[in-house]
Amino acid sequence: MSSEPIGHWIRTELFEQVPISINVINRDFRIVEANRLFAETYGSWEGRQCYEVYKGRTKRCPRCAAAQTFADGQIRVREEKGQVRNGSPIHYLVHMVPLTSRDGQVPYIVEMSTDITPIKRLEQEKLEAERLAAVGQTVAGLAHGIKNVLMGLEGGMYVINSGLLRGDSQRIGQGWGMLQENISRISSFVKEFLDFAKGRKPHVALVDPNRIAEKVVALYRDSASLAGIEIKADLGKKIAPASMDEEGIHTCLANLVSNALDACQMSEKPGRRVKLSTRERQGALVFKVADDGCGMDYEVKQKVFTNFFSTKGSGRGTGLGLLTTRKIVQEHGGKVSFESTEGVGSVFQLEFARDRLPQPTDEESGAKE
Amino acid sequence: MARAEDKTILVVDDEPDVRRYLQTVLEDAGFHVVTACDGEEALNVIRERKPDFISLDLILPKKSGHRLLYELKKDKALSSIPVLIVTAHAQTEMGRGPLEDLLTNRIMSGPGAYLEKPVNPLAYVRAVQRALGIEETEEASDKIGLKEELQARIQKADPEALRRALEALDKG
Repeated sequence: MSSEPIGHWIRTELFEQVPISINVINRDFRIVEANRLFAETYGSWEGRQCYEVYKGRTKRCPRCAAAQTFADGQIRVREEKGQVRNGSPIHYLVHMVPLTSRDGQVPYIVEMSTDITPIKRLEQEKLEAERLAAVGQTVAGLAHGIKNVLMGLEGGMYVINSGLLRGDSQRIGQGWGMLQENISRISSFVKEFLDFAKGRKPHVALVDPNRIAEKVVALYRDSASLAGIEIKADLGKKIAPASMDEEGIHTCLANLVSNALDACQMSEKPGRRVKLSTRERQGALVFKVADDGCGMDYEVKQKVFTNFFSTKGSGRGTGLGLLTTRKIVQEHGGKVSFESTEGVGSVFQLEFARDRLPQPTDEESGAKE
Repeated sequence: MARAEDKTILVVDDEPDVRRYLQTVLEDAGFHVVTACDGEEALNVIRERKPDFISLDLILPKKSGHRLLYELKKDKALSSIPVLIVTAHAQTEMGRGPLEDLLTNRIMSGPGAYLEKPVNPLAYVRAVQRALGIEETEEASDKIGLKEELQARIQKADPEALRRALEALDKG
């Protein structure tokens, strides 16, 4: 064995034995060579196109990474979803390494792919667990919100009773007002809570984040200018489409913008502004809503994501907006954060790591055309 | 014996309904009542009016009940005013921490340190009366009576004991 040249082993044994599927494609995307694991995983490959073998497609994939590598000679790494020999789905991480000739041409690409299906499944399970945790927090919060309404109702009855016993009509009127107020609180809670708990399956599709931001700003432009507040969208260039539930994200941004406008109205400063911006940052899509309104003090900051907490006074705001926002953002694998200084303003940020975004509902990028 | 008519109670709560409710309950028991809707206002009222008793919500805008209590404790003239915490947050993440902190640092003490919302009006009045050494009103001791006590006991009861009690009843 020691007398064999090492290069021979690498060329023969290593190629066949490595626990990675390896194949070589030519410029027609036809597979011209593959190792054993590749054949075991994806089935027969001789004379077939890579997209056919990996994904069961009849045409080249949209945004084909191999085509880019043929064009620029760069190594590429991609996470892809395909199908194995028996048709069941597989997630794989593929490295595309160009074989460059002396004249700089790329006649072949070596594709090395690792099965990451189990890792993907764990990631999915973790996301699922986070979603369930959000539901749990919400239910606990709901119980608390109901306590407050209950106390208002009991209080109303007590005050009416006390008024009746004393023949104090002012007191009866007060108690009656308390009952009315709390009953209307219940109906707005129920409505908002149903929205919050809506069993609607999110419709996830590739959408343009900037378009959602523009729509939300347009929605509030009139009411903002009526209140003397300037509102504008600051849209990042080069924001790639993202797979999201458009309606959900619209709800989140609308909640944040509406809060920002309220914060501005609670402040007496002149020239108040609300800005909604979109940016791409380190593999994440970031929405920011900034206002120079009243800001929040320490106590309010503590309670921001608590059910039924509102500083907007009775009759405005039920305190579910930010909670709903957080739920939707978590369902997209993202997170909500904020900074706020009393008297200066607040910035709320929604950050969506692109590799944690949900898969489109209607399998556009999946195996079948 | 002290008389309710001579005592001023400060009710601090950010919910107008709760303020109105607790105020009515206390007035019906004969107390004089003043109110405040946040921690800062409360501190002003306390300095101005020197109430005999404070009914305090824990989570408040501007200055939390927790912070207010620490400030009262530092002020010799005010630290002796008895306080009852009335909170909906004894069990929630938001309230548990501050409440435990107050109890462990002996800012508040005793089994009657706090009541949980929604409060029972009679238990509430009784807590105030007891703290001020006022004889419980007839009404209070009557109405709180059997039903409330039974409810409280059933809630605390161990399920196994309840099951046995039910069996005994069935046999009887």
